[in-house]
Amino acid sequence: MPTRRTILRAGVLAGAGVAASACKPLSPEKSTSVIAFHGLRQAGVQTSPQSHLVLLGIDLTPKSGAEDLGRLMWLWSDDAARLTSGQPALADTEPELAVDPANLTVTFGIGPRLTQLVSGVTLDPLPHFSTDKLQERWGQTDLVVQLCADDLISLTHAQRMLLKDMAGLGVLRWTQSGFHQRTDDGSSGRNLMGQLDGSVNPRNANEHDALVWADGAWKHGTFLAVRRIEMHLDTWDELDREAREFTIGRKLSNGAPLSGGKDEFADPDLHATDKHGFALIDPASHVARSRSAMNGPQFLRRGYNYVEPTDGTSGLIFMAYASDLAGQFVPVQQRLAEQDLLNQWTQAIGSAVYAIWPGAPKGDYVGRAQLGLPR
Amino acid sequence: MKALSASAPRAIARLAACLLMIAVGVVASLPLPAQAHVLLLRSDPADGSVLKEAPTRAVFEFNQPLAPTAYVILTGPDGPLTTGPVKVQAKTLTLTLPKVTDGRYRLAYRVISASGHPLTNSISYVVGKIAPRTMKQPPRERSPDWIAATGVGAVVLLGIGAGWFVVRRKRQRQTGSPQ
Ligand code: HEM
Repeated sequence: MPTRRTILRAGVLAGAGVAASACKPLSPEKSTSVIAFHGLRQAGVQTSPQSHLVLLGIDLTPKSGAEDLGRLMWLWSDDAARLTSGQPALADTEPELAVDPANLTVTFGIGPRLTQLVSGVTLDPLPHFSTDKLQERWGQTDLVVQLCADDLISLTHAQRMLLKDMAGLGVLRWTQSGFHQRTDDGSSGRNLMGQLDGSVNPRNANEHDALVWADGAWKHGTFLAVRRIEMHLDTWDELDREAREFTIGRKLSNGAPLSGGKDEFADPDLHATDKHGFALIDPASHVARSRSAMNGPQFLRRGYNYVEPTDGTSGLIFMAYASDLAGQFVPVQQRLAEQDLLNQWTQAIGSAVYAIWPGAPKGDYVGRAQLGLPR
Repeated sequence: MKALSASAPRAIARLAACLLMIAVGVVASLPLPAQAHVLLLRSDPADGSVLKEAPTRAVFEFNQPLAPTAYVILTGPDGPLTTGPVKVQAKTLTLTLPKVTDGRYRLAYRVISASGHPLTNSISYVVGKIAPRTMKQPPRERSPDWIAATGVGAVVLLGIGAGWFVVRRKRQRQTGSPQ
């Protein structure tokens, strides 16, 4: 809740109109709701998932090059820095909507075509997976903007401001909106199949750094695989609890592995057997098939649930962040395409990959250094 | 004092009747094999059969079409044995069995119905003439049968208890002496 003082100030700013953004910046009253935009790495990756997501797939207008991309990144970075700190965007016509950023993060990335503008970085499209039924309308784009926040007003406002910025430079191809269940006790939020989703994830920033953050030319950047996966909830609903738990290899109540353990953070034991000698976590279950031999996270999963308002279908906007998609994500997706009991109720309908820029220090903008442009 | 002691048996009888209804409810709500569940209809060899010669293959027939994922574990007097690959076709699971000596065998199976319901169980059979108990029996586990049996037991006991109170109350009314 904004205090009266912030509302008053915002009112004054609103009166000032466009000039507002030139005023002294608002000092954020709710420091906990501000996640710094500038830094070595972009926010919104290792950030604990906020309640709402808007993912924008954007194509650069034809014939635009590194300079145009740089200009767009400059405009975007400037407004993202303002909005995430609770200040209105430049030329913000609704500055009140920027007062409480509600943990807003804005994260920028580029698709395989634009990585060619950056030396030393290559990003290959994903190979075809046998289970895919991809729709063109959720396909690869030149650019991605991931906006996340705990409040839909601030999120929607930021979305609109950034889309305004790209006039003449980019074309919006798709928008993927999602939601995440935030919990108070550190447990993972549930997906629309009722499962705790996100248990095995790189939580220890130091230990798992190399899983997520790239090195070399893309140091402090990362790579993102976006998979739009529809859930067939009508047939999933016909399964009893035992069958649902069997399919994943974990309990629905608390996410504990079927091999035992007190909660979702207990290590699944793929060798534990029942009285007949069969594995308690079935070898074809989602956990058994997706798990690595190393018994630990393989990349960062930061998924959001979606409901498609036009036709009522729903599913998961699966997002995997990895320092090397080909080495970390592709083998897992390959295994799941070969066999995964869950495949019966899921269908990948969209797919795209992006290189997520390294962060920019204060006073700089995202992508400038990598594009080799002057300050 | 008197009124209190006279109404106490009635209260207990009411409580017993109440508990009886709850118990009936619990038993009625126990999971029963629903339509969606996959069940073994028959197997060859049949469960508990005694065979003169070792079977060369096993066939399981279920009430529903199966998913391609299925597993078996064959255990004999000397431990686990390797079987041929498991073949799933429609509602049937087939596999070839290895040559074995006389003894008691257990063939455990796990199948998944095409709709996604798993079923894990086992059959056992004897090949040739054998002394009883040549194979270790798996430890018995608490099964829904056990829970159901306890539920039925509780209902019967409660029923007897309630009946006893009713009879007792009647008798007390007739004799006019509450205690
Ligand atoms: C709608 C689709 C999906 C659903 C509902 C789903 C659900 C789940 C659930 C409930 C878990 C167990 C809890 C956890 O560790 O978070 C899990 C684990 C996991 N999933 Fe998925 N998942 C889906 C798609 C995918 C895809 C497409 C991939 C990768 C290609 C994937 C990779 C993984 C991995 C790596 C784990 C951790 C396994 C471990 O180390 O134990 N999942 N998923």
